[in-house]
Parts: sequence; C-alpha cells; structure tokens
Amino acid sequence: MTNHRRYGRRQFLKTVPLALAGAAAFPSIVKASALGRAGAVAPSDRIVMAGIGFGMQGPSNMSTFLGKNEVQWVAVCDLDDVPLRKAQERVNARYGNKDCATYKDYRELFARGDLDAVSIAIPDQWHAIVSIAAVRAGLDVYGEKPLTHSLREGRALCDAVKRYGRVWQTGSWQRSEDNFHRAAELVRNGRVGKIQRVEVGLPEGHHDFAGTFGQEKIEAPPAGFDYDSWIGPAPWTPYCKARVHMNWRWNMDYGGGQLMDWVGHHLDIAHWALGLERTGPVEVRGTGEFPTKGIYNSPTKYWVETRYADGTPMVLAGGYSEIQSGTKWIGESGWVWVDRGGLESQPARLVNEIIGPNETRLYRCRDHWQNFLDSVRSRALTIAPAEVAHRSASVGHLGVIAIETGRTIKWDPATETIIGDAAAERLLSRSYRKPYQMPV
Amino acid sequence: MFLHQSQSRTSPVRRVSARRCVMAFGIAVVATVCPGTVSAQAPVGATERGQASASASSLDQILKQLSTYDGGIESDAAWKLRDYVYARKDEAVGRAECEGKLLPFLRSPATPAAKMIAARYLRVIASDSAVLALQAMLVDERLADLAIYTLQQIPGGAAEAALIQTTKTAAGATKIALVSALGERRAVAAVPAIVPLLQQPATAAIAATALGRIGGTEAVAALTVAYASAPAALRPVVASSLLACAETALAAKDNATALRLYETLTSDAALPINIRKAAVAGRLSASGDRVALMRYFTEPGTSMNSSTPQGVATRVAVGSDPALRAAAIAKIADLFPPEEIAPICALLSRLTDSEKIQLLAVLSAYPGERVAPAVMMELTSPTVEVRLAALKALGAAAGPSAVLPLAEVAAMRRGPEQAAARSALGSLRGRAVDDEVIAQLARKPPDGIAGELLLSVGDRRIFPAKAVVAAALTSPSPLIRIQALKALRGIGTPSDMAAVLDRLPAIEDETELAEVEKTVAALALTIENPDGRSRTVKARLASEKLPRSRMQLIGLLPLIGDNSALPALRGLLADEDAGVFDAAVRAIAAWPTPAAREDLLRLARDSRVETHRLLAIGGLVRIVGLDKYRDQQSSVADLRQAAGFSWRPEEQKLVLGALAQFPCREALELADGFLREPAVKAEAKAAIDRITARLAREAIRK
Repeated sequence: MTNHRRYGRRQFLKTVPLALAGAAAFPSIVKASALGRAGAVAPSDRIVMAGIGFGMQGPSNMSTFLGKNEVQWVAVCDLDDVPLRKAQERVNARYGNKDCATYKDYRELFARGDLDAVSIAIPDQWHAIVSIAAVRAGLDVYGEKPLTHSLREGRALCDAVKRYGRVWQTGSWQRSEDNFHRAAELVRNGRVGKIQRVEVGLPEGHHDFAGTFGQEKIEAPPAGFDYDSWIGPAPWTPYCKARVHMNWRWNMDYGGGQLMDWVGHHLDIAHWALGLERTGPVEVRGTGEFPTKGIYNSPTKYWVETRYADGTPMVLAGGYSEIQSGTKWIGESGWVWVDRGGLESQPARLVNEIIGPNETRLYRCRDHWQNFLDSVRSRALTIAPAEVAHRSASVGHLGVIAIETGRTIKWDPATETIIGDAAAERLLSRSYRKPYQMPV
Repeated sequence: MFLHQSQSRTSPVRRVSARRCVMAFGIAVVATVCPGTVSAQAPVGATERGQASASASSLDQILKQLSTYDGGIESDAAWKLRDYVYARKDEAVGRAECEGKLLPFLRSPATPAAKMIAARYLRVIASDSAVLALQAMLVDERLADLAIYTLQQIPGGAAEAALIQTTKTAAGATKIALVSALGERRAVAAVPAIVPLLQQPATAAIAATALGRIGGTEAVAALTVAYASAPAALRPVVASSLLACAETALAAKDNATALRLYETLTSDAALPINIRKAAVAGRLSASGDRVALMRYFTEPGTSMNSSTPQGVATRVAVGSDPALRAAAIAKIADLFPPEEIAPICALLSRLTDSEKIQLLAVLSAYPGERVAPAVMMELTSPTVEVRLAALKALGAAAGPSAVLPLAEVAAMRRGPEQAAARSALGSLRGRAVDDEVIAQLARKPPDGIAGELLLSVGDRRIFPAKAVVAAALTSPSPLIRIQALKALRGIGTPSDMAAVLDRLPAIEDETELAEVEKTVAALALTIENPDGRSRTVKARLASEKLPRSRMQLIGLLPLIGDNSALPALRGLLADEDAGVFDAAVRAIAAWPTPAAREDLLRLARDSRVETHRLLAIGGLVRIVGLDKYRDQQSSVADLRQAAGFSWRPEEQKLVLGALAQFPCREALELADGFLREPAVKAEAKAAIDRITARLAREAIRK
C-alpha cells in the first residue's frame, strides 16, 4: 500500500455514517476504531478498493470486503447499468452515504489514482487485459478463477504481477477452508504413503445460473448494457440473453465450461497437496462430450488424464460417477478425499491426526479475503497467488487442447511449451478482436 | 429438443475426441487400496458416432445450412460442421477439403455469425495453403477479424510473413489488430515493420506494446529511442514495454542491457511511481547491488509514521521515497543471503510501521538465529499490526530462543495477539524447540506462561513431555489443570483415560468438567475399534457407586459414541436413582449415531416425563438425517412418528426443518398436513418449497 493512496482521516470522516459514529469515550463523529484502538484499523491504514464486474461473483466478493472495517470501498464498475446500480446501492447502504462512484470503463476507474486494490470478477475473455492493466496501474488484485482465458495470457499476467510487484489473490477460496488445508497437509506429509493416483471430480453439464436457458432469440442488447465492450477481445457474436450474464461460462469464447470453472478449485487443491503448484503435468490427454443443440459449446462431460514428471497420474473428470466430486489422493497405504463439507480418509483415523511442527506445514489462513488484505499490507504472497492459479488453470487449458486435438499433449512445464505438436501449440493463445490488445 | 429448465441440465452431447483415451497408469494400484474405484477407467471415445453423423451430410450441404445461421438456437449446422471438421482434421485429404471450402465461405454472403463458426474450425486445421486467401481478406474491414483470428494461430513463416506484409499497408483498426497479432506471436521478423509505427500517434502505443512483447536487440533499440522523445501520455506505455524487454534480457543473461534499461526508467521522476518501483526492483535484481539497496533506507528524507496508541503521528528520518523503499524491501530476499542480513535487521527499528510490516514478512523467511533478536524487539511496538507481524515472523523463522517470549505474549495478551502468539509457538521448527518447552516447564514459570507452554505441548505433540503433563493434571491451579487436559488431547493415548477419569469426582467447575469430557472423548476416539472405545468408561460405570460420579460417566458416553454402550444405557433406564435415570435418558437423546433410533422412538412414545419425551423427539429428528443409507420413505415415516409424539410447535418445526433432506412424495404429504397449523404454517410452506425444488432438480438430472 502506497502512502500517497492512503484513505486519509479527512476522507474517512466524510464517509463515516453518523449512525455509526460516536463511542463512549469520544462523543464526536470519530469512531474509537479510527484511532487504532482495540485492535481495530486506523483510518490511515484503510485499504481503498473498487470492484469490476457485478454479474456473478463480484457482489459476493464485495460484500465480504465491505464487512471488513479496514476496507473503504469507493467505486464500482460494470458494463451493464443494472448490476452497476445494484452494486452502488449496496456500497452506499453500507456506508450510509451516496459517495460510491460508478464506472463503465475500467480505464477511467484505474485513472482515479486513489485505489489500493481492486476486485475483478468478469467474464474470462477479459481477465488478462483488465488484470494486467490493473497491476500496471499499481493496484493489488483479488481476481476470480480461472486466472485467464488462455494459457499464454496466464504467463503474461504472472509476469506482469511480478514485474509491478503487486499482490494477487485468486478466488480459489477452498485453500482457506479447514478441511481442504487439512487434507492437503495429510497428503503432503505422506500419511497415505507415496501417491499412486489422484482423482479430481468436477461438475458436469451446464448450470442455469442466470435463469436464461432457452432465451436464445437474437435481439438488440438492452439499453444500458454495452454489449460490444462486453464481447471485448472475443470473437463477435450477436446478442441473446442466454449468452451473457452468468451463463457466458458455457461458451468457450467467454468461459471454459465446468472444467475451467472448477479446475481452479479441486485441481488446485490436488496440486497444493502434492507440491506441484508451481509446475505442471508433462502429459495430458482427454475426451469430452459436447452439446449438439443451442448456443453453448463447452464440454458437458469430460475426462482428462495427466501425468506429472514424478510419474504421478491424475484424472480430472466431470460427469463420471466413478470419480467422486472433490479431490482424492490414493496412496500406497490409504487415501484421503476432500470436498466442500467433507473430509474422509482410509484409514479413518487419519483425518484426526495432528500435523506436528516438525512436519511440513502448508500456508494457513482461515479467511481468504482477509488474507488478501493482510498481504496488501505486508506485501507477502497470498495463499493463492497468480503463479499458483496459472498452474492449475494450465491443466484445464491443456485438457481443453487435448480434447480438441484428440491427441496426447506432451508439455514442458518449465518452458511452458507443447512438445512436437505445432497444431496444438497454436491453441495456447487466442487471437483478439480488433482493436483489443493485451498490455504489458 | 433443447432443454429449457430453470436449474440445470445436461445437454444432448456428442464426443468429439478422435481417440480412445485409456491410460492404464494407477488403475491397478487403485484396486489394492481403493476397491470402490476399480472401475475408474477412462471412458471410451465415441469418434465413430461423430464420424457417422458427420458423413451423413456433405460439407456443401452443411455450409449451405449454416450460411443463414443467426447465432441463436437454430445451431444444428454449426455442430454438424464441428463434427465434420473434427472427423477429418488428422488426415491431409479431409483437411484440404475443409480448408478449401471454409475459406470461400468466409467471403460468401453468409451471416457474420455463420462465418465466425466457420473461422472457429478453420483455425484448427488451416495451414500455409490458406495463408494467401486469408491475407486477401485482411483488407476487408468486415473480414479482417476472421482472417486474423485464423492467421495468428497458423504456425510457421508464411502466416507471419503475410501478417507483416499486410501491416505495412493496412489502416485503422485492422492495422492495430495486425500489430497486436505479431506481438503475440513474438515475431522478431516483424520488428522493422512495427518500429515506424512508434512515430505515429494512432499506432504508437500499440506498436510499443507489441515490441515489448517481442523483445530483443532491435525492439530495445527502437523503444529506447522512442522513449526519449515520447509525449508524456505515451511514456508509461513505452516504459512498460522497456520493463518487459529488460526481463527478456535478464532471462537471456544479458544483465548489462537489463541494467541499462532499468536505470533509464529509475531515473525518470516523471514516470508513474508504480513503473518506477518496477524499475527499481528490476535494477536491484539485475545489479545484485546490496549497497544500492541500502541507500534507499539511508538517504536523508522524511516519512510519516502511522498513528501510535496515543493518536500522535510521528516522523522518522529514513530514506527519501516510501514507494521506492517498498520496492527495495521486496528485493531484500533476492539480494541478501542469511549471513548478510544483519544490516537489514538493524534498519527495522527506524522504519515506518507500514515498512516494518513488510520487512517482517521478508525476514520471516530467514534463519531465526539471524533475525529473531531484531524481530523480537518489535513485540513491544506500540502498534498492534506490527506486533502481529512480528509474531508471525517469529513463528516462521525463530528457534528455541523465541519459546519463552512467545509464551509470555500468549499469556499476557488476548484476542488476535494471543492467537498469533500461540500459532507462532506451535509453528517454531525443530526438536530443540520441543526441548526448550520442556525445560521452561521444568523451571516452574508463572501459571499463565506454564499454561501456554502446556498448550504448545499438545499443539506440537511433544510426547517426551508426557510426565510433565500428567503431573500438571493434579496441579492446584485450575488453569494449569485445564491446559494440561488440552495438552493431553494432543499427546495422550487411551491408557491415559484412567488418570483423567480419576479427576472426575474432585471437579466442581463446569469448565474443567467440560475439558475432562472432551479429553476422555478425544482419547477414546483414538481407539481403532469403534466398539471398544467406551470400554474404560463402562468399566468405571459398573464399579462406581456414587450417583454423581455415575452421572458424570454416563455423560461421557454420547461424546464417545460407541454403540456398544447403548445396552448399558438401556439398563440404566431402570436405575432407581432419579439423577442416574435422567442422565441415561439425556445420553440416549444426545446419541450421535442412528443406532439409538429404537430407543428414542420408545422414549418419545412412552416416557412419562415430558422433558424426556421432548429430548427424545429432538434426538430422533436429529439422527433421522444421519443415516444416509436408509430409504427416504422410512426416514419420513420416522419423522411422521416424531411429529405425532409432540404437540408443541417447537418440535413440529424441527420435523419440518428436517423434511427437506428427503425429497419424496411422503415428505410433501407430511409437510402439507402442517399447512393447517397456524403456528407452523410458514415452516411447512418453506419445507414444501425446498422439497419441490429438490424434486424438480432431480427430475432434470434424470
């Protein structure tokens, strides 16, 4: 956090709602917390944030940040007036004023000059452009997974985060949950012996997040929604309701289907447990099943097999009952399985075993969003930094390429190149529609 | 027909992979440790199905059908084209046919949506033979995106040459797109064509970005020249590209070039501070110059410290620019080996609070003996955030010397600081730390510190401290006894249960009693055989005569949850002592497994004590949801009985809350019956809504 950006006492006082103001010892509008008492956050240390994208995960992320006294949320940005106004109202309600600014262009938002950090939750085709612009503007970023829409974009984003020395937290929040952390530590410390196989079960099909399935009539975009900018660098396609908000994920031009949506969760956990989070597989192959009707073209069912340099085989599958949802590490002396709300092992006692201080301890945090804020102050790595998110997303990208080409992909995780398959190599990046360009 | 549902669906699907994908690795081993996954083998591809379908229509027919596609629901032709192309993408003749017909399709009067579909599949197969045709489309504003979309991905020199050649003649947005495409291809050969564009306002930023991505000597030279004369608005863009070029040079071990670029940018005070920070960090990386890094902290200047507990802002005299110092702090780990870190540690006390927090995070990666003394000084900082950062750093870096200071902080502080100190104490690495904990305990420190040390015994699993913990169980200090119980949960074995149970008769304090119960349960649960976990408690119960002690022992049984204890509890339902009887009922009502179902049904139906009946009903509702192998109708039947036993809305609401776990007709009927009860009407409606929604989802899945 840079000093010149700190949300100073003067600005803070402007935003403190009168209803919240006043503590017993200070019968004025200055809260006790504003003076740094009782472990609360001093105003000069408030982290000034804004959000981009409020159609899906954005509102939830913003609500969590708004609940942190050390955050001052000052602006919202979206290409659609409807979620934009809702987000603005939410912020203004939180602070009891009308100060939250709105933007439709992220570049204008970044040009404010008073932001410390930004929360980005937008369709995948925009991830790299907006995120690189953010870190270049000197902002720390809480960004949604998958990290980027193509593998090459992921490398560019990681480079930019490193170049500009920014803090990045990916929305792979499972890492900050007890059961996932515990499962990963058990595996990392060899509680089930050498790992023989990993099974990663992801969802299948397409989920109607927005309730717009079937609304595929081509029509003019609604007033207040900048559809052409929403398409952005992706190939142009005419507007229909089912194509945009939330359900964009099922179209490979804007999302990556269930595979890319979830690879940053369960496979990320698999990587974490195995210490593979900064490398990748050496071999990937896969099959997929695709829709034969409608406008969505992401796989509804998929089976991707990978092999890592140490020989560890890993399966990612969606829609196959033999692969249980979540992450399962099968070792030579038992197994550990974890999913949201579940942690099991064989033998069963493993889940209650204590990891001692002389064993390998994995990064621990119990609040994913707080971890981001803490790192904004300390500049330390978050629990889900860009490089780690890139490596989990890479497996998904390679899986998609393997499915598309129908060939086994030989991958060099050090140079991030496909070996001996120029046709597959071309799928590592995506062409941008004019006039869009990825910044450096 | 396409499914239009409000929740989820699995669309009609077709596999498109060209190969069966059966990988054998791991499967055989799985069978030995995880029989349930023996069948976990890769699915069989359905290529044949796809090919058969694809060959049913000719490509001409498909394209004719596709030509009027508007991008909406009538997408049959798009999928047919996908299948057709994918079925042929791996054989030359088929690829040539597809390429030969898709290329003219892009120039046809087909709809834009149709052409985009065609381009999508052309991108997968297009080769050098497509380049000329695609290049010709680049001059057409309407087709340029499609052509670039395909050309950018074609490997080899022909596509690159076409992009370069057209860049020289194209205009407007197409020119921009071509330059971007060349940048993404890292096309070194394109640099001479891109360099002149640096001089034109409309293309300068795009060209600079592309050159930054390409890197190399020529790009660096052009960007350096452009940077010197760039207008203010363009300078940050060019500077960013120079940063990227410097990284490319560094990766190629050309430190001299990298250093030159970084120094150029570092010295430009007009640049945005974030770019200067990046340049500072890069310069330090390229030079490895520790003296230069130190200079950021020793040059004269002032910086505002954050507020103190007294609310007074203070100024400290270090360094000239806080932002640049932050960049320098971030590079310390790269430049200073452990044996050289002392000067950095010496700086710590002179930094602002914000910088201290950053530096403490950096120091946490250094060996404790090098940094712990300086870090420990910050435990007395007036700023809580600094103290927290110091605790975190100690936990990561320190050794035995931090044991006592951390225990003291944990004993003296509350809230986040206490938690951080405990966490740090548990994180200190090495057997020497364990020895130090035992040694400190042997010195009989004050109760608060001893308690924290005992807690760390459990956290750290210091088994050699067992004797100390056992002795602490009988300490005159309640705090020590409680912390010893907690420690025992970490290092104890079932054989320790007896010593803990011996404490029961003497305990008056509810908190201590709760800790004893938790400890006995935790130790019992370490017994592998689930039916043997309550043996010790049952044996005590059989021989114990005092009703109060018997009640305490009975209360332990549901915490252990060993079903073999249920017969003993049933026997106690006939006990003459009212307290023992009451304890037995409560134990059954709190039983954690479905094995107590019959007992609960009986109690709910027959008990003469209203409180016991209500407890049993609550227990019954709770365990109905625990048995995941039972059919839904049977579970609902139990809930119906539970509802029938009770007249109070409280229990009826419990039943209605549990009903939604069982989406079936019987559950709906039961909930429906409660709609007539005003006191629970809202809960009944909510239950019906949830059951209906789940039934709908399951119907969709089916």
